[in-house]
Order: sequence, then structure tokens, then C-alpha cells
Amino acid sequence: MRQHYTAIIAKSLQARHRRERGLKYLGLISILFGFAFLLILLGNIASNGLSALWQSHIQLEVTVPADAVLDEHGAISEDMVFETNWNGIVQKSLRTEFPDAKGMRARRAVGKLVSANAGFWLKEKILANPELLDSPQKFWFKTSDEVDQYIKGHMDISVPESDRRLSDQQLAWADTLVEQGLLERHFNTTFFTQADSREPESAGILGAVVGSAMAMLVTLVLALPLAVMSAIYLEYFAKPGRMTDFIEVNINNLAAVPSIVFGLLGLTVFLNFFNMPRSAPLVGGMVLSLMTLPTIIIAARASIRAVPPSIRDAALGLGASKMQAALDHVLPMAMPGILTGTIIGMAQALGESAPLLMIGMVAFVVDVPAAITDPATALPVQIYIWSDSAERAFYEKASLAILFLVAFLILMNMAAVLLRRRFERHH
Amino acid sequence: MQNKMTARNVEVHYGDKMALDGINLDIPQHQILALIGASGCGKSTFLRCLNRMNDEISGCRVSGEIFLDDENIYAPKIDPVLVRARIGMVFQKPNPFPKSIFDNIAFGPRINRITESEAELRDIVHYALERVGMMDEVKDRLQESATGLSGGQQQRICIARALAIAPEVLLMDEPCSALDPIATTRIEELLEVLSSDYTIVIVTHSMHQAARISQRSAFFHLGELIEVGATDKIFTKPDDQRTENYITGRFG
Ligand SMILES: Nc1ncnc2c1ncn2[C@@H]1O[C@H](COP(=O)(O)OP(=O)(O)O)[C@@H](O)[C@H]1O
Ligand SMILES: [Mg+2]
Repeated sequence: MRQHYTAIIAKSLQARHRRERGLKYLGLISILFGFAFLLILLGNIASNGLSALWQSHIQLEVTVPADAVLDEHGAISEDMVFETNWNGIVQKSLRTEFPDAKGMRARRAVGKLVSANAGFWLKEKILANPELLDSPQKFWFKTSDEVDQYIKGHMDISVPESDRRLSDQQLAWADTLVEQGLLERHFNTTFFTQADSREPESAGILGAVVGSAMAMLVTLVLALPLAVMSAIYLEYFAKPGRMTDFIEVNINNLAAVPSIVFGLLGLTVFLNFFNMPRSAPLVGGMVLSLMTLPTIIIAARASIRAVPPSIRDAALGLGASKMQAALDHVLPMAMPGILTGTIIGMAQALGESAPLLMIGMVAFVVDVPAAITDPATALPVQIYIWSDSAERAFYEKASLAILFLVAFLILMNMAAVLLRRRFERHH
Repeated sequence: MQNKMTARNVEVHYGDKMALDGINLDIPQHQILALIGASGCGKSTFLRCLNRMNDEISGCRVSGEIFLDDENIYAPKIDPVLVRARIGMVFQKPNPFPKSIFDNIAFGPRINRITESEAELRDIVHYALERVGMMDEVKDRLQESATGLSGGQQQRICIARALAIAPEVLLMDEPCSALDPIATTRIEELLEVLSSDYTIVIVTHSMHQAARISQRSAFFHLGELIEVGATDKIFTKPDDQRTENYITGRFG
């Protein structure tokens, strides 16, 4: 009689279990590594960017004379508003805080403490509230970005004075204001309500966010239906043959094309040939939809193929046309996969800047776009513009914008997961 | 006995591979015809020829003629979608749509625009459920998902779904192979009742099932139709040695 193999199997089992444990730990370690890098990256960006949520303000008492705004009949006169030196009013008030600053240079140095846009802000405030005219009013004015960075501790004061953006005297003035309680950090609402600006303290991401949202909407509206119809066609209608193979190969090629090439295409076709508006989210969305199309088509084909053929057979067997079988039964069951692919494609598109640079969405735009044909930037392009600026304050804002972009992407990916779960529960 | 369908010189290729070779077969009206034979001999392929489901399989080529009444369903002017509406099909694995019981059965009438009125649609669904003897079982949960039913119930829903568009012929491909014996018995009883109104072609790998329910049997072997005749005769004194071998379990 042959011996049993139990002993041999048991022995080999030990070795197999050992190997399995080894692989398990290896996998765990690589995941931890990935997480650690992600945390370091995000932590670094956060430590650079979160301070942009606050902005230093100086409290000043100003009196705006009525004749700065009103004509002899007491009505607001645009001419007079235009003639008024609003910055001068702010500067005058600021100089009363530092009476010992004499001479042209010292006075100009004092003026550098507040934002160059302080006068503009004051004008808007007064026009909205004319009752504040002719009486002393206390306002919080934004500091210049240099003072703001100094207050936040982002300025290296060990650097020789001549290489710094603020002199020792200016730093001392700022310190005095802080001691007097006249210089405070307030929440930076501007960052969320404004578009780009030359002055970092007046710059916000709203313009870029709206630009991105518009471009994404255009991308979704164009790419999703096109991709789904292409996928259905390729799966159910295309006769296998050279033509279909050719199309299939080229869809995969399209997915591998560097994104800047799509930008070039957008530039030559949409802008130069069709004369569509430059810097517009409409064109940006069109370019991004070309880029996203293959991703969605590939995902849609995979999910259509994953639908059990028995469901399609059932529909066809009841006299459904191919289109009815596809739309009524296959598509709903493939939808979670298609939407997941769509969201992933959209997330890629959202983070894309190169093709948008090519079609001019890199312009300096100070207005929040109101229509998809208005000039606009997009979030990643705004980040690119800001991180390329000389001012430290823009760098801080770029970091905060990156945090927002990442948060957006995480949200989108979570939506993809949740969506898939919900559909899975339904079926 | 009048023939509901007739196959003449039906030949099927999958790519270069021949799956059926010159099949000639008559399908009498209001009877049950059983297709028997070892796995891979082409029973399902032949069944799919009868309602042009093979059109949907890429690489599958069908030649020859198949008549439904006096009309060749492979004639160029024939719309295969219409053929499939006239000839119902029930598959091996129950395949209800992931929808409510009602919507499953109403699907055929809806897409074929059989009626505009909701009341009439409800009548059709109820009638179909009556025919498969399920009205009492499910009348309180018509809006519940059909995928929550047992396998046997699902298969009867699939039969009801096919009956809802009043087909002339019912094709069934091993409809009981995924079911337990009790559910199988219920379906067999159901088929006997239905055979007075419908022409039924059923593929089965169970000799007993063929013997119990069919009036005629056709034995396929390696893509050829070897023998067809009254079920009694096929199972007791077949003409062909290969049939006898199969019946007595010497292969397959
Ligand atoms: N979709 C298909 N593509 C290629 N070959 C197929 C396909 N379906 C069936 N065949 C082949 O055709 C032959 C008959 O298959 P089938 O009709 O399924 O047999 P049965 O139903 O009798 O088991 C088998 O050899 C099988 O491999
Ligand atoms: Mg089969």
C-alpha cells in the first residue's frame, strides 16, 4: 500500500504560509509608504498654504469729505468720484499714526504698509454707504502683502535690509501697530469671493473655480453622451473587421496622446480655424472633452461587456431592437461603471493645465466669468500662474489653491465610490 | 398533423468551424418537440436558428431555410426583430431583468407597443401570470424585484414574460437545468398545459424529461440530426445505433 501524503503536504504548507505572510507584510509596507508620502506632501502644502486663510488688516480712522462724492445737489457724481484721490485719503490717515515720519521717502515708506488697493476698497465702501460721509469712521484696511507676510512670520529678517522688501523702519512701524491693537489678522474672505489680481491681498480663486466648473460642465455634456454612444456602437453594432480594429486601436492611441497635443489641436482648430473665443471655458471644455473621451469610452465598453449577456438575450428574445436592449437594460446596469470612469476622466481633466495654456486660459482675468464664452482661467492654471509669481504671498495662495484642488479631486473620487455602491445595492 | 415550423438544409458555421450540417426537421403545431444529444452537438445552436438569435453572435453564419408557417424567416425581407417577437425564448439560466415582477412581464408588450392603455397592460400581465400559475403566489408583490424570487419562480416569470406577447412558438433551452426537482416538476406540468396552445421546442439533457413531456424527439450528434420521430419510438426502438447508444447511456 502507498503511504499517505499528509506529512509531505503539511510540511510544504508551512513554507507556503510563510511565503504568504511575507507577501502580506510587503504589501502592507508599500501601502504605508504610499500613505506616508501622501501625508508628507499634503502636510507640506498645508503648512505653506493654510496661512492664506487669514489676511492682516490695519485699522484706520478716515473722514471722507462729502465733496469727494456728491455734487452741489447732493447726488453722487461719477466725475467727482473719479477726481477724488482715494488712496490719498487712506495715506493721509495712515500718516497721522506716524507723525515723526518726515520727508518724501519716509512718507512713502509709511504708505507701503497698506494695500495699494485700499483706496479702491474705500471708494466701494463709501459708494455703498453714503451715510458714512463727512464723519470720522474706523475701517479695517488690508495691509500690503509684504506686511502680511512679515506678520505671518514668512519674512526672513536676518537677510540684510537692502535685500528685503521691508526696511527695518517699516518692520518697527508694523510692530507698533500690532502693539496698539491696530493690526490684526482677519479671515480672508477675499480669497473666496474674488478673481485674480495684481495685488496678492486682493486675489482670490473664485474666478478660477468658476472657470473650472464651466469647463468641466462643457466636458461632461460633450464627452459623456458621445462616449456612451461610441461604446454602444462598438460593442453592439460595429461589424468586426479592419475598420472596427482601426477605430479601436485609435481610441487607445487617443488615450495615450500627451494632453498638450490636445491643446495644440484646440488652438489650431477651435481658435484659428473656427474663430472661437480665446481663453473661454467653452473651448477649454471642448479640448478637455477630447482628452476625456477615450477614458470614458474604454470604461464604458468594459462595463457594457461586464453586463451578463443573458440580460441582453432576454430583451432581444422578446422582440426588442438592439437599441432598445442596449438602452433599456444594458445601459442601466453598466451605468455605475460608466459613471465611475466618467468621474475619473473628469478628475484627470480638472487637474489638467497644459492644454488650457495652449488655448489662452492662462490670461490674467480679474473678473469672475459669467458665461462660458467669457475669458477665464482654471484652478490648475491659476496655481501655475501664482506659483510663478515673485511675491511670497502668491506662493502662499497657490498652496491654498492646491489644497482646494486636491479636496475637489478627493470629493469626486469619493462620489465615484459612493455612486458605485448605491447602484450595486440597487441591483 | 400540420407543421408550424420546418427547417430545410440548415447549416451553421462559427467562423470556419461547422456546428450544424444540413438539418432537415419538421416541428408540428401544438406539440412538444424535444431536442436531445450530447453536449456540444449543436442543440442550442439549432434552437437559436429558429428565432434568429444567432444573428447576434459575431462570426456565426446560418444558411438554408427555416419556415414559420409558409414564410422563410431567413428571407432577406424578413425583420429578425419581428421573428423574435413571434417566437418566444426561455433560457437555461433564469434571466429576469433587475426590475419589478410587473415590469418584467410588461416589458415585451411595452416595447412592441402592443397596447397604450395601462389597464389593458395590467390585464396582459395578469393573464400571463395566470398561465404560468403564479398569480396567487405573487399578486401582492408585483412591484417587488423579480431577482428576489426563487430560481423556479424566476424561470416561470421568464416563461410568463415570453407569453405576454402571445408568441406562436416557444423555444426553451434546458429550462430546468438550474432548478431543483420540485421546481422542475412544476415547469414540466406547466409545459404540458401550454402545449395545447403553443408549439414548444425544448432542449433537454434529461432523458426522463424528454420521455415525460414530449410527443416527438430529435436526436443530434456532432452537428447532425441523426433521427427524429415519436418519443415512444425513439426511446424504445431507435433506428440508429448512435441513438441507441446515447439513450442507453453508452456515451454523452
Ligand atoms: N458563440 C459560439 N462561438 C463559437 N463556437 C460556438 C459558439 N456557440 C457554440 N459553439 C460551438 O458549436 C458547437 C455546438 O454548440 P451548442 O449548440 O452550444 O451545443 P449544445 O447546446 O448541444 O451543447 C460546439 O462545438 C460549440 O463549441
Ligand atoms: Mg446548449
